[in-house]
Amino acid sequence: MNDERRQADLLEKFMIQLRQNIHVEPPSELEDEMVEFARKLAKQSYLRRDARATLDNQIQARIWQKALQDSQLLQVNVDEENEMFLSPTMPKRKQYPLTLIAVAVALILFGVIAFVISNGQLPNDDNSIFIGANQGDTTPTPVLPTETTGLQIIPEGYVPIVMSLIELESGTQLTEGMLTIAYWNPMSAPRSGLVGEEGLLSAVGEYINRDLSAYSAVLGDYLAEVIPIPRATATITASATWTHTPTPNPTDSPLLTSTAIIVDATQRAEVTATPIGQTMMSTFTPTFSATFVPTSTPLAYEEVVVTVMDIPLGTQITEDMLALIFIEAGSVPEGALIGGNGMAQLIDQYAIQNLLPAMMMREETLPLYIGDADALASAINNLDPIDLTATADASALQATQEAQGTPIASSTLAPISIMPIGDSVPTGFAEIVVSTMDIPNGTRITSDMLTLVQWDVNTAPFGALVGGMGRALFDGRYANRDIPAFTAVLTVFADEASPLEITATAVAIEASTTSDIQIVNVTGAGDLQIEEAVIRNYGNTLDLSGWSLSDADGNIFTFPEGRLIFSNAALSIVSRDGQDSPIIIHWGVDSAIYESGETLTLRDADGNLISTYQVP
Amino acid sequence: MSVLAILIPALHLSRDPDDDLTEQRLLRRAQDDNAQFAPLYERYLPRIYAYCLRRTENHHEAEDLCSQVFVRVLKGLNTYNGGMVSAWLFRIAHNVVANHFRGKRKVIPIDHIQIADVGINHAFDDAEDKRILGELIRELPEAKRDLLALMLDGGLTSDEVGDVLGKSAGAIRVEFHRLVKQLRKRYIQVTGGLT
Repeated sequence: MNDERRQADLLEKFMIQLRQNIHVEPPSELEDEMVEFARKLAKQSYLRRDARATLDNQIQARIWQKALQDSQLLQVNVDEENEMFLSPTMPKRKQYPLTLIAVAVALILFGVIAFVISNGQLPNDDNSIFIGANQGDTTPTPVLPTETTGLQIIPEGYVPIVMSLIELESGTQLTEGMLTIAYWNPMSAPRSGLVGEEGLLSAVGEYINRDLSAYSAVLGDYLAEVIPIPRATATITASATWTHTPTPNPTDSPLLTSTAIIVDATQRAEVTATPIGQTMMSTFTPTFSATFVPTSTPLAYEEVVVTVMDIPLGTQITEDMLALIFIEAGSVPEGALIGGNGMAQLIDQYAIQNLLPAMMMREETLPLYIGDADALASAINNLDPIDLTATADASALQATQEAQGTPIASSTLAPISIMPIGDSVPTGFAEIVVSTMDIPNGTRITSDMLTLVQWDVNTAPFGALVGGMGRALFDGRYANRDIPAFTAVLTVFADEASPLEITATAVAIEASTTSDIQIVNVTGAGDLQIEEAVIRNYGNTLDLSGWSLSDADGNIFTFPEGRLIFSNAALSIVSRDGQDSPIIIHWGVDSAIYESGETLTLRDADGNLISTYQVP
Repeated sequence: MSVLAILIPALHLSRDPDDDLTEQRLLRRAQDDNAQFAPLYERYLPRIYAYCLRRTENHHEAEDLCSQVFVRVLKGLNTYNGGMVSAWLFRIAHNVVANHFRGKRKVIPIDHIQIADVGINHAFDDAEDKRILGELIRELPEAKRDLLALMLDGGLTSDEVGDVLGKSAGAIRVEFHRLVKQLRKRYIQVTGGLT
């Protein structure tokens, strides 16, 4: 390695250390001339200074809210591609069929109104407005929207200003016909112009009375400044409802008899407007294509959850292990888990989010259950349900699960404990759905086949189904946001839970609180100037008073009274002496503590073992 | 949660493989539920804000750019397909800032720097240092300012910056080293020495 590269490496290492401790000693080989300037530079980092001082909670929240709001808007509209905006209140999920139907119908309606409705004809396929046919025996028929509101064109970003439509002599009594509203670029709009339209009156609070705003124009001084409005992008605000009820054919695959439309619409609206006279003209060239996915449940059918593979006892359940089949409502076995969007009232708002992938997979790769509900029900009812009294012994089941390990995912950590739904979950833990028995492929899932275990969210397997009502990650602000379709199942389970399990829950919460703290790293072992151990808190802010960190040689560091470790934060225990900070605490010894290969131990104030770590 | 508690993990910048895995897991979850992005937001907002602030030197613009960055992040969650989350986020931030400056970059002549009242060998306090270094950084060409902002203010490692800018980590380290040397030389020219 040549010298420049070596120096470059050392400089980066030093800069990283400076971020944590501005007084840190430099690497011995770093050229002297760079050391003080690097330190000076690091002190000027905006991350150290201004970002920390400026970013209070209010600003953080403001940025987040704006980002969230704008992202929801942008996910529905196509801002850069076709410059068309739709109502920002529409849901953000692209695959949400009702939204897309609404979008499709809004666009169709607009095209219809703009070009066709005048002669009373609906468009057909030849007009490039397409509502396609279902696979199978049904052909959806376009149904006119039952309601349409708010269809209007407003040049985006422009300000409506009240202007005279004719030449007005002094003293003329104003009537509506003499005035109009023109849209001005806000940068060139007259400062004191009367602002029209209800939505903007709040900005000029003195014009609350709408009639007053329409009749009080004082425009003479500004007429000379009138400039033509350039071609502006239209904002379309439209909403409509559209109902389509396909007729399923029970002899076909139930998965293919229900359809929804996903429309990929590309449409450009151009508006030409002049300030006086307000000539506005729109041109639309709608082109639609439509695809069908099975998302809504046929009437009188219910979506029943079944397994698509054999699932051994203790398996953490992932979405791809389950699928939905449609069974006539009257034939659904008692106690079957109901999923999906159509008929399952308890979980309708979560169904699409969580089960659509499973449905799609099933459609593509699995044999279908064709009208065989009776046979399936018979097979299911012949299964021996698990004895609920067995699950009441939480510790026994936990031991079983720990002994068997977790067959799915890379995590080797055992779940913490079992708890029924309805209790709160320790911060930093998630409730993962696992099987409580071996479940053969094709089994209709019932509540007694599943349970919840609490896992450290950082070690929980990716893709796991997460259940529970009480998850309070991050101070509870996001609780209840991730409740999947299986809440319904587990609610049933909770109702059946015995008091013994609730007792077990309390123990689990206590135990999981301390395991939130872990020794996560040791660096610089053997070098007093740089060696440090890092502990991390994955849970709530915790008082470390009386806690201790020790090594195999009997060196013990006791955390001072009142020392806190913040939620989701790291704390470095630096061996040498120095000035403590919220993220660094100094042991203050004269020689290096840590040796490669030895084990560090973290204990709480009562001497309980919390975490161990082998120095690399 | 206090501001301090939010900022502390952001200031702890050494790369930890566990952190990477945790961030990737969080991002995967956020693909299904935007709310799951919140911890990443809390972790990265101060860094992205500092990066934007260095580039704009204006708190309002920095706040606005941060909003734009996270709009694009939320909008593009499903485009994330692995790799360092930090690099992915800062690549977006880098693009947003670049777009922001496209066509509006002001050229600041070197003689614009206000150093007349600075005495030679004067012992500067932090505020003076900040002003002088800020001016010197503004002298730098666009690419070098960006590199400095990513490493100094964004707190990225050379690996991460390399990922953002499409270069090797080694090249980034050497480039950064040369940049610091250049700044140091200018600083001494302007102030008469290192104090």
